[in-house]
Amino acid sequence: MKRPVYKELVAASSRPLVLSILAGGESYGYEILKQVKLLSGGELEWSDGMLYPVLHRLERDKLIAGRWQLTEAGRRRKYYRLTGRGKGQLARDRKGWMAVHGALQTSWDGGRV
Amino acid sequence: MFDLEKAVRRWRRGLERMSSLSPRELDELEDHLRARANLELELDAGLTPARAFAAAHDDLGEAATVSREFAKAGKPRWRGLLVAGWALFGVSFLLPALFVPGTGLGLSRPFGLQPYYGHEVFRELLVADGELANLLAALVPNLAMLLTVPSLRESRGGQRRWSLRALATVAAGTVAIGVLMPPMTVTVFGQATFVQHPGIGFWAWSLSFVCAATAIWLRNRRWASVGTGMTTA
Repeated sequence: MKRPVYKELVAASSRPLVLSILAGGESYGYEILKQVKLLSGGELEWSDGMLYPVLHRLERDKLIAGRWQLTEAGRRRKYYRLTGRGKGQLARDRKGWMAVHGALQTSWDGGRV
Repeated sequence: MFDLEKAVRRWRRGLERMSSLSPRELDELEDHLRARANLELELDAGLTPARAFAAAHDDLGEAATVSREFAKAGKPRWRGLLVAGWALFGVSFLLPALFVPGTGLGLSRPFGLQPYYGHEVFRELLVADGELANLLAALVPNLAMLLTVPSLRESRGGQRRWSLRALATVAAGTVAIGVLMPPMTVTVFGQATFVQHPGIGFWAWSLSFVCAATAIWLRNRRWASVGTGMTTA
């Protein structure tokens, strides 16, 4: 069976999703992955290896900022938070996705403009 | 008996060998692998640590797959800077290194070559004439640039502090020479020629060292393993 959320859709939605999750507070890779699964009710499943390149790209573009911390177990963990620039990008992404969502919704409701 | 620590270390060494991931990237993936394996154990108390590790390991993917994903996220910026440095370095040998008043850009030679290269300006100011002086002036600064050749090709490797130091010294030295060079008379084809300040070729030459030094600095920073500047959660 083909996945309803196909590859291209996963890739396109990765930025707004990560930014949205980090808008709720600082988090780290594994926790973000769990959030994505939860938020989408399991429909949206990211491969473990795919998340980190996405995070690093967002960090390079200064939309998120990372910092290393020691966990209670004494291990190193990288936490990410949203930057001011990231907030602006999230607002723009949100507008874009709402526009797509609105158009599809209206069309599916049988609406004509 | 299965040893999780050993398994994680073996996995990391394999990934180190097979991929071009930096130590920082490996640190993060290792944390992920551990978190994943711990969760598997929490979810299913009957699971052996070996099975939990295998499940986490499979989800993260093989070294080749992980590496490909990282490559998709874009090339590191330092490499572009190093290539730009090399381009400037090459171009500098085709541009006039000395500015001569009243001749437009500078001195020119048949075939479009210029009588002075960047390192020759360096020689004029720092050492006396002679074959040995010529050779040293050409070798010392340009050698620093040649040190970056391996970095152009390989995507991984340890830090090379000495190559960064050499490049930074040459970069600072050439910029200082360019700024401080007094108007002087040099001999070109047996003819004394008055030059006012360095030409565009000299600046391209000195800027190529600045670019290369910055690139190697960025590269070393990326490769530095995590350890400093860390706070406790």
